[in-house]
Amino acid sequence: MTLARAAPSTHELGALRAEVRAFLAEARAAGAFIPRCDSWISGHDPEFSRELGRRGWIGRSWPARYGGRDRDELERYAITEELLAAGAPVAAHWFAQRQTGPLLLRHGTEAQRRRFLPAIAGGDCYFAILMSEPNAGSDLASVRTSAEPVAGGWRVTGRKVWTSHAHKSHFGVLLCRTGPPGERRHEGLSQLILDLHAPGVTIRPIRLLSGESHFSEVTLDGAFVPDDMLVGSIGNGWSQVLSELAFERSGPERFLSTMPLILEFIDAAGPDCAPETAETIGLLAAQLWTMRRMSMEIARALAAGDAPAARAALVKDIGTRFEQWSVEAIRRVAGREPAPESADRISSLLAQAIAASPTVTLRGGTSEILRGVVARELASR
Amino acid sequence: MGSDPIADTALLEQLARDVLERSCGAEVVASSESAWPEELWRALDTTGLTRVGVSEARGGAGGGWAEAAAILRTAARYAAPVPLAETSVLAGWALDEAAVELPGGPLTVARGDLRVERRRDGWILSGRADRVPWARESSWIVMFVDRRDTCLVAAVPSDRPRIVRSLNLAREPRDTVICDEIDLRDLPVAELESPTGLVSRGALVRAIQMSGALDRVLELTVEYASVRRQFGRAIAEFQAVQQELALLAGEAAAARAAADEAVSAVAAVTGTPSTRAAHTRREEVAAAKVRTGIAAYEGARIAHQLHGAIGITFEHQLHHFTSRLLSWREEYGNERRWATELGRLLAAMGGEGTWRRLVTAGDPVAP
Ligand SMILES: Cc1cc2nc3c(=O)[nH]c(=O)nc-3n(C[C@H](O)[C@H](O)[C@H](O)COP(=O)(O)OP(=O)(O)OC[C@H]3O[C@@H](n4cnc5c(N)ncnc54)[C@H](O)[C@@H]3O)c2cc1C
Repeated sequence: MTLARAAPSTHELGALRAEVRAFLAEARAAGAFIPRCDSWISGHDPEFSRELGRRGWIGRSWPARYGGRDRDELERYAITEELLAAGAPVAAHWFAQRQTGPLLLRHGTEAQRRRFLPAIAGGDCYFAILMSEPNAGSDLASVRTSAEPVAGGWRVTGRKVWTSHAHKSHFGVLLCRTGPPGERRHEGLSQLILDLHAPGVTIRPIRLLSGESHFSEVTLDGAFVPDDMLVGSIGNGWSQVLSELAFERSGPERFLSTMPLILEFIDAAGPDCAPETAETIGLLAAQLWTMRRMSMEIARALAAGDAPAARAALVKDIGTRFEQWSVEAIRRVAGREPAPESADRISSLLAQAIAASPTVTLRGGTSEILRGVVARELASR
Repeated sequence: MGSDPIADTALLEQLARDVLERSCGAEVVASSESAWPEELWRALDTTGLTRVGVSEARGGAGGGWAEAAAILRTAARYAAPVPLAETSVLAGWALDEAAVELPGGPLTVARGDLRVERRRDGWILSGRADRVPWARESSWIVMFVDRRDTCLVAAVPSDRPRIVRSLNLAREPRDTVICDEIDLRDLPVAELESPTGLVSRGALVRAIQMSGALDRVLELTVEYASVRRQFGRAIAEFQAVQQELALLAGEAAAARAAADEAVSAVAAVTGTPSTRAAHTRREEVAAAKVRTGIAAYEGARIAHQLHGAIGITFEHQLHHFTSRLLSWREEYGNERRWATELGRLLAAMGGEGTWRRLVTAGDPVAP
């Protein structure tokens, strides 16, 4: 399935970045968006996603027959970075592009790929990730949502929580029990594609401490899932989820969530800034450079078909700790009070970043769990 | 190796590993304060490992930053107590730039309160430089005399200045060199374009070394946690210990990435001496020194915590690595110094400019 494609030259990547930047500057000037922190989860804008799709900037590294552009993974990485740094509203298509696309490319049926991938790449079809439950957080293998075989498919029953944008998405990838857990509890799990508008699916947005609602509770009361919506093989859900998590944990959104704040802060600082300000900028940049290299190394490994779970966990742990630290470091020297909706850009960006700060080390696996993954890998060296 | 061009950094690393495994055991490191490890030096010197990064035309072994980094990182994994970096990519580089043939024996570099005066037909060197690595053991010392926009380098046999012994935290020699009207007339003297080159290169060297030492510290700590038993099991089975091990692995990986990033950035600069002088990749080097410096402290702290009391004894080899980490983060500018400089460079570029600079790290720079 992997096509031999030439890695883009520095010049080509530079030209692509310039194109994305020019588009973003124009969209910003036209009032299409206001840059914000954490925009990959808080900035939901279908119109914007469709525009990116039209430009070929979603799923760019996927095969052309599935709506992609057959381009190198580095191009997708560059586009993603530019969008995040600009604080652009990319949440609508985010999860589908990041996780569902690669999942279907690895495990989906030909019919599933043909149906969903072009729509995802077009910025038209959004997926939610239905893994966590009220009693299955870090201990994901303990999920209890079950799928009962019925004529032509399954009936699913259970409750999912913290599902990002379930209330604004078309489909969800549902992790559920299709068989007994076995000795190691990892057996009998499967992934199904669930139509979020099917009868028996009830979605209730959950309000966050900031007042926004970007995740939901999803209650499944015997909703029907047709046979052909099984992803991969039955009972293989656990190992499929593990390889999905490497995509989920190693991307640039794990250290660029506060980039709009950082860039605004540097802009305001100017060349004659105080020594503490300069030092803070230097500390921010030194860490950014480092994480970028670590994350890109994993992106290359993923593109080559590997699933470096421990290295991805490590990047997420370091990256999200950096995000939390960055907010505090800037707050300490910026000399402004964080205030939501303030006309002062730094004040309002700080307010957004502070509200999002506790979430970054939870979502996608908590820091403690990630370190457990790393420690197990160290022990097996 | 002799005059063969260096083809493969992995092979070079293997060669360094073999030599160090044979000649740089823990006992060599432990006794290095009282006895210069002549045998180790000779083993490194005869294989050409002391001269990688210096052009063959000047008596070096060839190769660039990537090759030199592979060797320096490996040497740091063994805490090799010899001026390997000083001889090759610091003194060797300056002599290479100045078109001076490399003298034999260990070399070092001195910079500080040094000045030159023109007298009749030549220069006279006076002043002092502190914290000169292994001045007492080197055959020649390359003196860096800062001038307005350039830098004068002079190679001086080490018996000409007065040398006062001093140490760093790791008890490596960091001597004071006092020059009392040294006549430079018959000695190699040249003018370099970049007065700040040495500090940048020194910072990169120490960053590379820190990444190597951290790799070793991680290895030692993972190993120890798997054999040390308390409460009837290996301490690595306790979750609190696992969390710390993972943090240590993260710091080691970050240090490695930071150093690699700077090495590839610097190695991507090719062309004439003046293109090279104009593109010192100071931002990436600064970032590497800052990030490895942070990792040095965190890594050393966790390693000692997990080793318990045995780890703070002289007997145990852990301190050879941790005390080097804590010394190297200070040398050629600590985290604050480099973060402030990096911050100023970026602040002058503004937000957009900074972003552009961040994502073009390591792009090639040609003549
Ligand atoms: C903003 C946001 C968006 C999210 N989006 C989604 C989504 O789209 N889809 C989805 O499925 N889920 C989503 N999640 C859920 C997320 O995956 C879970 O929050 C996470 O896995 C942790 O589960 P929990 O919140 O139940 O915490 P718990 O697992 O109850 O953990 C509570 C605390 O106990 C610690 N802990 C638990 N077990 C251990 C252990 N074995 N060792 C050490 N410490 C332990 C944890 O580290 C944590 O500090 C989202 C979460 C957030 C915050």
